[in-house]
Amino acid sequence: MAGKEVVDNGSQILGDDARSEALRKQLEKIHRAESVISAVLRIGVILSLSVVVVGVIVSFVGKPGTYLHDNAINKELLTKSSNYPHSLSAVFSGLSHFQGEAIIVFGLIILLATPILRVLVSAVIFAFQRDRYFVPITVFVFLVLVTSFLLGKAGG
Amino acid sequence: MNMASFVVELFFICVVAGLAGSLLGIGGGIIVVPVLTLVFHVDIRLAIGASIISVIATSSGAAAAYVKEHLTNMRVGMFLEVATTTGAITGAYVAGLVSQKVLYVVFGVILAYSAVQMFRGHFRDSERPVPKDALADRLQLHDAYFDEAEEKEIRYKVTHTKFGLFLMYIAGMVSGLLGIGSGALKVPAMDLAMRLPMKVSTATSNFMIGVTAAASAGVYFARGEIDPFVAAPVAAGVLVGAVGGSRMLPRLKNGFIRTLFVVVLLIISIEMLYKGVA
Repeated sequence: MAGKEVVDNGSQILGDDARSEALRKQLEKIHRAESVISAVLRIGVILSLSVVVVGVIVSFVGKPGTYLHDNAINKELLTKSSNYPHSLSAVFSGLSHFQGEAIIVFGLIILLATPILRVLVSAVIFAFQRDRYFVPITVFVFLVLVTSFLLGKAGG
Repeated sequence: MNMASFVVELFFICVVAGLAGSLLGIGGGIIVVPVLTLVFHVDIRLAIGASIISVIATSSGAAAAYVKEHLTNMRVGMFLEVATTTGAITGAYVAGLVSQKVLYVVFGVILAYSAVQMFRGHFRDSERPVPKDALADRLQLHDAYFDEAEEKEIRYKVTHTKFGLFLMYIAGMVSGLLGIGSGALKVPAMDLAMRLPMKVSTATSNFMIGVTAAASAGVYFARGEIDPFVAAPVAAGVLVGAVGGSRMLPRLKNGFIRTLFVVVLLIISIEMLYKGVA
């Protein structure tokens, strides 16, 4: 029987044989992991979107002269400008002054952190589920992400 | 044009980018970058910074739904991320060693070839047996999803896992080298080599691209290339579009997604070949 199974078109993954109990448990585990990871992504997205929108409103209300002026766009966008915070310390000091640009950037940082947090959370879930292959796999991916941040060189 | 109308117009264009990106498992950079540079005359570096944001927004915005609906094969995605992230780092390091023009031509040709193969896939799909793969068995990558378009559960087996991993390494390297095209290579690799159903391929690619992009986002941020007023409407628009797309994908047919993907793949391929020879 085993010798015949050279090819398989996928008809027996969820078969009703003796393996089905183990498979059901496997699916339940996957389902639980999926709910948690989906929640992490959803919360990250909603949080980041809300913060970004608040930041845009604060910027426009705070400096209507700059941002609603006809030429504002040229000064700000046509060339690479560094008027906005692009280091963590600048962002946090801007946040303490309720500065619109800093709030937007903070929202974007939440967005950037979401996939990385997702990898970390999946590593924790797999650890709880004692998955001997996927714990090292997810931890490895997390470490590569951390390394790429430290090296500051990885591309898109 | 003032800032307010710029933000509003960009937002609506990015809804479309998010919609397309979430359906096809690609980042939406192919829409965001040309729109920013050609229509709004934004500096190319800021446009690329915004496209990184768009990739992450597409990925997280749609994956929340795809993961929950079990359209994403998370085990396949997480396993392949090992190769895409390592590939991205390698790519960033060898970037100076190879001519960008040559790379554009090479990958333009590869994408055109993938498009042709995927188009042919219309006529041979599903009937062909899936070769057995010990690694896929061991990692328990085989899965099933409920297809709302066909109103039935589709069970599938994953194959050629090692070859898929190799292709993902290349895909990661290309995105490290050129800053683009990660999803455009991931989807054909999963569809053609690993034999995942089309929607599972795009949903799983969508799941993975955010991680690859996040790896490089810190760099763009530190260099000051993520401008809040360019990135904010991009992030918001793409998120809204991606959430919309994630509602649509389960109900669309695999064949339709494949056709749409082939068309977009050809466009990207032409875009790359043009950059290579121009």
